[in-house]
Amino acid sequence: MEDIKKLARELLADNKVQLVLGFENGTANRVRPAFFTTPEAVDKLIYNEFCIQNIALYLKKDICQHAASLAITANPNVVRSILQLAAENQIKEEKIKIIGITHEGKCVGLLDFKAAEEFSKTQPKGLKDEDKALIEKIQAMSLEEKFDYWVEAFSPCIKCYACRASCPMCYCGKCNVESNNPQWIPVAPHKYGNMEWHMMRAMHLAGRCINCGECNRSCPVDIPLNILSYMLSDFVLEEFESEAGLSAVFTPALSSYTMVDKENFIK
Amino acid sequence: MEIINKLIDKSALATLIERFTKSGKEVFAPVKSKGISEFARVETIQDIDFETIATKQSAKSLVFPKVEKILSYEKTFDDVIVNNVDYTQFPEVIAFGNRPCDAAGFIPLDAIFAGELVDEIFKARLEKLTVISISCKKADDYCFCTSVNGGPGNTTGSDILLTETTADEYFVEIVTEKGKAILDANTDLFKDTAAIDKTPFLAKLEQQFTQEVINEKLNGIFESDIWDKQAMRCVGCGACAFVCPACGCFDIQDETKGKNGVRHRCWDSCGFKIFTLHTSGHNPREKQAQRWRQRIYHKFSYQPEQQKLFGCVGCGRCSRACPSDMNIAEHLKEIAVL
Ligand code: SF4
Ligand code: SF4
Ligand code: SF4
Ligand code: SF4
Repeated sequence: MEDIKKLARELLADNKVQLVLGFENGTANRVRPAFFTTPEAVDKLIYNEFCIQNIALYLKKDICQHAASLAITANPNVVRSILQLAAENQIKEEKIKIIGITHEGKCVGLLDFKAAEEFSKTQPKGLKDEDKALIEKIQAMSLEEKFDYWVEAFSPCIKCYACRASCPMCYCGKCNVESNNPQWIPVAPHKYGNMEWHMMRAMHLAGRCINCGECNRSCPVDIPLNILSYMLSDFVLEEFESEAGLSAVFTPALSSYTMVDKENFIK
Repeated sequence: MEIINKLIDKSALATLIERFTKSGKEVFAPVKSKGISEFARVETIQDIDFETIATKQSAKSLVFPKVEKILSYEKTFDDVIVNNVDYTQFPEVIAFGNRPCDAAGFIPLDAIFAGELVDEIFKARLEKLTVISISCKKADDYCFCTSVNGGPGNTTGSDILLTETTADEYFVEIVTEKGKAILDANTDLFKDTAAIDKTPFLAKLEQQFTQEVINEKLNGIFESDIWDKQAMRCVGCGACAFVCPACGCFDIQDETKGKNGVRHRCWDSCGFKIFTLHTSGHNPREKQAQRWRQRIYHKFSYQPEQQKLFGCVGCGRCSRACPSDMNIAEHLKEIAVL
């Protein structure tokens, strides 16, 4: 942790960045996202195994948008998010200093995008065993069973949109659910309203989700909606050989067409 | 009504719950499933989670569900036929095992929905609801009821309050006529007692500020930069408002198919950007900090002014549910010492 703090302090002291995005201690044993603007403030910066919230989310918020340059303490999930945001023209390399941190919590120093791409390859997405088990369980289901599973899983959804608000890839200024003319998705959190909302979200993230699990962690009713996105990531990888979060140059499967695209999934 | 003191042992309590369900009342209590405790329909006392300090969501859905049909309509050649929901037919509901803060939460909701303008649907649900709360033996780092005029053994909003005094017995306070009706119908289950000092049986929770001080401080800090500072990490979701027992904002949604349609009421939150978005594109609360400020002002300034009560009961649910650890007690404390 000391090397991370030292790096953050130096970046601010040397005016290399205006803002460091990281973590500080929160309520009881929780940690929380924090924004550091002076070298002295960095005393409060922490990094430990609880710092798993995907803070890349804030890169699209006012505070980061208004900073001319910034640094971010970046675990593999955050690095993948940054690369994907860059690939979608949402962040520029000259603006951001990535303080790379491995899954084990080891600081690897500053990463430019090229180094970040290498880093991402050596720090594969770490799905939890329970995630893998659930994916296997769902994959073994028939189409009808899958549909019923998800209707049931989404039924407790209260449409608080914490999943959307916490997802670094859900950065649209106006989400489709906010459109009421025409109204694409029912606002009410009833059976169909929930199903349509989650299908829409899953489709908009297909092949763009970087598998951080933040949507699930932020959900107050613990819906495993991340699993749906993970399964779509696998599907897009298989069908289009495309994987999000590995490169700052990336053509999303959903908005491109090549002559070798398979169409066998259209049934 | 003056509070009536009684005792009930645990087997009698189990019988009481059975009598409720057998007589067709719907009993809702905290139930733990997949590690999360939420209010759910129960049949017997065995189904109930007595340990969890606070359910993830509040008990408000018993009177203000996340989505409910309020009417349906049908267009004819030259008219529209409106069918209101029949709110005289709602079932009798018992909220059981909720915390005193949950019970207190029904009061600001009542003031919102059945103040000057009475929402018949809400009122009908509330009238059919009997609240049997259990005092808190434990509090956690998010609880702050004692700072907002509540307490781990507070009777406000409860029809009956139970306080566990021994491993086998509860001290019972019958607070309202609704509570007395339950006592009268089940006298065999209750034993007489003099009033008991509950303090040794309650969680100790230090007062951090008073709501009156917050109310006073809010006069004159509308333009303060504290809102920007506090709301910096807020991601602008609806989690805090949706889990809050006292938040009553809603959205009205018509779903039409051909000539028929249904009107729903569903939860809404002042934390959402589109909550105040005008059709012109102008948004009077454009920044998240302004929305956070609204949340605090509504609960600690506007509600006291308009309804003579506060809109927060200190349950800490918003803080527990917040993905970014926005701790409302900590923020209020910061305001109190400004
Ligand atoms: S796992 Fe969830 S939060 Fe993370 S990128 Fe995918 S959809 Fe977004
Ligand atoms: S965070 Fe959970 S409850 Fe909220 S909208 Fe997303 S899935 Fe639904
Ligand atoms: S305070 Fe927390 S729960 Fe409330 S809107 Fe902000 S991020 Fe969401
Ligand atoms: S504002 Fe937070 S602490 Fe207060 S009543 Fe609502 S959920 Fe509970």
